[in-house]
Amino acid sequence: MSTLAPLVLLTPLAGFLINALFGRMLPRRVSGWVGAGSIGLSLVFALAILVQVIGGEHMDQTYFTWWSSGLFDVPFNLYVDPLSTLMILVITVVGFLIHVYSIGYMAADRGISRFFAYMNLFVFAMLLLVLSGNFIWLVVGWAGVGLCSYLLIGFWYDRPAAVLAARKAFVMNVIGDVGMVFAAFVIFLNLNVLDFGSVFSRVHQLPKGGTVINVICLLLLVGAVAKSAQLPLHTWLPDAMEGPTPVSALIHAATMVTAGVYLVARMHLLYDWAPQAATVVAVIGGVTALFAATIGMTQVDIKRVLAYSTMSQIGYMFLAVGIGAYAAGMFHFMTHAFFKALLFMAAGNVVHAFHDDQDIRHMGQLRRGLPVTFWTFLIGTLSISGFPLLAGFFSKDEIIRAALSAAGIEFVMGLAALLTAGLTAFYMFRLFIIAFGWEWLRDDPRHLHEAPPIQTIPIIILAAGAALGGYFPVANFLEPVFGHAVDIGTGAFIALALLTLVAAGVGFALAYLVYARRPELAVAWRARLGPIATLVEHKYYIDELYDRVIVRPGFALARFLNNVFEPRVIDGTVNGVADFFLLESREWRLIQTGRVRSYGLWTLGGAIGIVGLIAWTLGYLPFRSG
Amino acid sequence: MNWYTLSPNVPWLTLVLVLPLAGALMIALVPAVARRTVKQLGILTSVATLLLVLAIIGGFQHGVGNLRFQFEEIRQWIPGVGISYHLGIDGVSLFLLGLNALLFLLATAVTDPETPRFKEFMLLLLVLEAATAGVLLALDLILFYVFWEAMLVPLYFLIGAWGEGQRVYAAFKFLIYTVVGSFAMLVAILAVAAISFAQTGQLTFDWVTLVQHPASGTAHLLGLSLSVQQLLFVGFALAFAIKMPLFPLHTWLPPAYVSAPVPVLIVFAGLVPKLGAYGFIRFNLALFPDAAHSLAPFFALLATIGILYGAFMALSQTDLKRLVAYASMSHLGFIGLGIFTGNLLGIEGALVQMVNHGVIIAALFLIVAMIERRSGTRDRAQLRGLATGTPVFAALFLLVSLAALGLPGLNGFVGEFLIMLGAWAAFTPLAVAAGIGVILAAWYVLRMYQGSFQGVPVEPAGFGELRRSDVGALAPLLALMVVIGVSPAFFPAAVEATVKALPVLTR
Repeated sequence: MSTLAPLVLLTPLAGFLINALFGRMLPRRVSGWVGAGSIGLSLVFALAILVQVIGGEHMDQTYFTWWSSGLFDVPFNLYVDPLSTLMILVITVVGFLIHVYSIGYMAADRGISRFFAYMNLFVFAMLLLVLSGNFIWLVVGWAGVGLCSYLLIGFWYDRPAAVLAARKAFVMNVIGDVGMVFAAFVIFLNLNVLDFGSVFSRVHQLPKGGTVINVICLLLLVGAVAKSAQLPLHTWLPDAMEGPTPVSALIHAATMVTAGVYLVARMHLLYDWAPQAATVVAVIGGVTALFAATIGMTQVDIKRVLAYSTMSQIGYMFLAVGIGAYAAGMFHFMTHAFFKALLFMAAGNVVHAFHDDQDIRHMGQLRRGLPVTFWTFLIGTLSISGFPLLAGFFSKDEIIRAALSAAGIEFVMGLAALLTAGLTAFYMFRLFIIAFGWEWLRDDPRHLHEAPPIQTIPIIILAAGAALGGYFPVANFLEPVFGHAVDIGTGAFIALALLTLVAAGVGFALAYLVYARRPELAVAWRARLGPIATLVEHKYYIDELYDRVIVRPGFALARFLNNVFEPRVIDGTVNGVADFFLLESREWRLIQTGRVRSYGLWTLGGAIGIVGLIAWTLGYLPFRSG
Repeated sequence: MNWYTLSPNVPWLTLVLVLPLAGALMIALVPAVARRTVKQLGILTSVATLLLVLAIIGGFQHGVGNLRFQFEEIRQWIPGVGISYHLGIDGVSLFLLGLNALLFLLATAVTDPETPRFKEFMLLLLVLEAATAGVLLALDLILFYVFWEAMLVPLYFLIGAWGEGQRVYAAFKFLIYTVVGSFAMLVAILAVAAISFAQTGQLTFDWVTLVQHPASGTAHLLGLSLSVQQLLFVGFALAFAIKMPLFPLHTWLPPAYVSAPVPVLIVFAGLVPKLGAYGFIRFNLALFPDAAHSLAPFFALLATIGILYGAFMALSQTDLKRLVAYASMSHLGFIGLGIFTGNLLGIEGALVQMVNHGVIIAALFLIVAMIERRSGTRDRAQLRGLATGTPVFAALFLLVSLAALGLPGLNGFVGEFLIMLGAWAAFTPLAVAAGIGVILAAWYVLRMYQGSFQGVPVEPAGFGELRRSDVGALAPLLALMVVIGVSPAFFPAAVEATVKALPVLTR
């Protein structure tokens, strides 16, 4: 396993290097297959690791030293356990399918080799993030995925909106990176180690629920929140939809944005030790789930609806890991990766069919034109809405159940999650009904073209995952990491499952009523809700708030320093002093002989004089009496 | 650990000083019209110096602490007043000497032979190299002062005579600032010697003797009262703070950087500020550990203000050269903060960041020059979409930008991480403020990169791809960014023993 783990990492890196260095000499198809093939190979190695992990193996292997001085001894080590194995499997499986899809989706783009280079670099960084066995390399992977996210959001760099969105994503993620780095400081200064194995074994030296462990967990949470687009650092994710759709599927839905969930799950021993910080995680998750779902109900851009849906679903995962239901959170991570990647790629097919128009109001009635896309999107919609026996039903139910079995604020968050389940069904079916429609057209005058097989086969495979992923024994697989999940009993199980089903059913029924049967109701309700609807449509004005409170004052301060403070105050003082001496020096011009040697003599003499004076006053010169 | 042993009979460090001077002498003998020969001599000299320095780095023994130096040379110079020719190298100066040799090679390599009075230019550059190397090697306070001042003369002319824009104003301002600082340092040097003489009856300017005072038998100077230590500390600090520069003594910097020609800028911005930082560690932390300890919060605060101030100033610049100048100031704030943490990791972080800063800032100024040469402007407002048609240029600029904003996995992160870790241990609020500086850096660096290379191109034609020589100039810097970022373990292995023995840590 100590060779397999680096191989999992290095194959995407090799793919990146090939496309980065020689990409422009390669034919387009070759670029694409190098990109996809390297992930495929990585997947093979990941499967080999899976076999060993199922056999009960576990690895924490050091490969080289990063920095060693005093107590600060940081290695490059890889950490393989069921949790990281689940992560690398989802990353390589979904990543491989999305890479294959991209061969078709990006075929006409002239930057295709650059695209695959960035995508492979992303997979490398993501795998590093989940395989790293210490905080330094976790941060390297963490920032690496942020970099690739930036590069791919701004992939079409001649579009100003894409450039701005990319910068926004990067800067907000750097806020998170700094939080994580600070967390590493507090960990090191209290435990003297930075590798996970030692941190986990020493964390119980800290007082449980004390300031130190809570500060550590909250600082880590800053990183998790920024990366996973949770409140209040979420505003970059909707804008990130400026990137190509496969990017949205891979980075901004299936993998990178769930890194925050992975982080909390990986650090579960720390969060178990910091109940207050864990509660904060749960509250952020529950509130974000509800918050994003409300915005999702109002958006008309197909990718933005899915982006808010992603935020909301990750909110579920945060809620899960915040209340200690780690396995449930990771389970939902996996099923979400399947159905959300599927939804995004299907949406990509639709957007292509409509020549890059993403407004759902211009779409509709796609069953005849895009049959494969239509049916797979429906499966994804049903899965995310929690349709019985599909993947999303199992994973989401488990989270809501766990939250509703808790007490206090966690229970309230469980109610929010229940409400969100209803809203999810509502906004997803709203999207489906408006964009895809119910009706079967005999003739479609629009002549829509279904995507080629290279773009539909990956979606069909993911649809299978979205349908059947609920039967994977994820909780059992993760048991060595998180321990055995609490069994709440069959009666409570069925009651709570029915509750979520009712919520989802109401959401579906409302969406069907408003958008399929009586569209005039939508207009009427919108008018009745008035200012509230406006508030939600404008995403609660949070972008505007940040602009007023942070961005503009920042630039105002920068301008003040540049235009007033630096020239007038600082340089003004300096020049004032200089002018004073220039004025004084008129008197002294007589001694300016122009001879360098005489200046040197004066300098030395002056210096000695001053020293003598100081020394005399301090009593160091022998001739001072007393 | 070391790879091989260099013969102790060869004055290796004197050779480091002599080689560039010999090159300068040879250039002086070549007729000025033979520009190619001058250039070849210049490159040959700096390559030879770099190889020599690399050999020294390879032969440097790890684990030698206890204030001991390697490749030491000591000769009487003016015995009557206790001035000696004393050279030596330790973990503090080792990699800076390497940076010195690398940046001067780069400077000579990128100088255009069609520069007016090219011969004189090259000659002054090599003289400057000897002077800066001397600053790093001198272990006698007067010898140090001589090299310190000797550095000024070529710099003054290189900026004043070959600069652009308000070069005379810029060069004069730099000169006046520096002379004020140097004078304070000279006073402090003489005072230290006078005090030592009064106590021991022996007049000496020798660093090792002054630090390990034989009379007191203790590790550091003289057991002076704190206020006297502080006074002397400030005398030295003024010179170094101006050179770095520390806020608010920085206003000579933007005009000087903007005026300086690019080859000069590589060493002027890439190396010279680090000599100020070096001076702080070599003299302030070693000679006056108690004063250093007591004044550290104040200087760390100034450094942190510099981080934020430089970052905000960089945010409001449109001239790319000025932008990089303020970015440099912000990064130097990190180095200052690391030094004044007064702990092992902070100082090691500062040391590795000195190398990183040189590598990154030199690369940034080279890139700004390459942009200006192609488009005729450095104004961000007039640049847009340059990446179209120049993928290599865009990729390399991006890599340098990422190193500059401290992306984990590249070199800038290594230093910033250690510095902030050290600062967190010493002055937590300052570490938090420095973290804000990191966020601001992402902002202004990306604005610089995206503003010039992304967006709709103004005029796609005319902006050429990098030439082979451009890539060649950037290549060693890029390689260092990646190597130091991924596997920097060689660095603490070499410097740890020296840093641990610094009086400020052992006091």
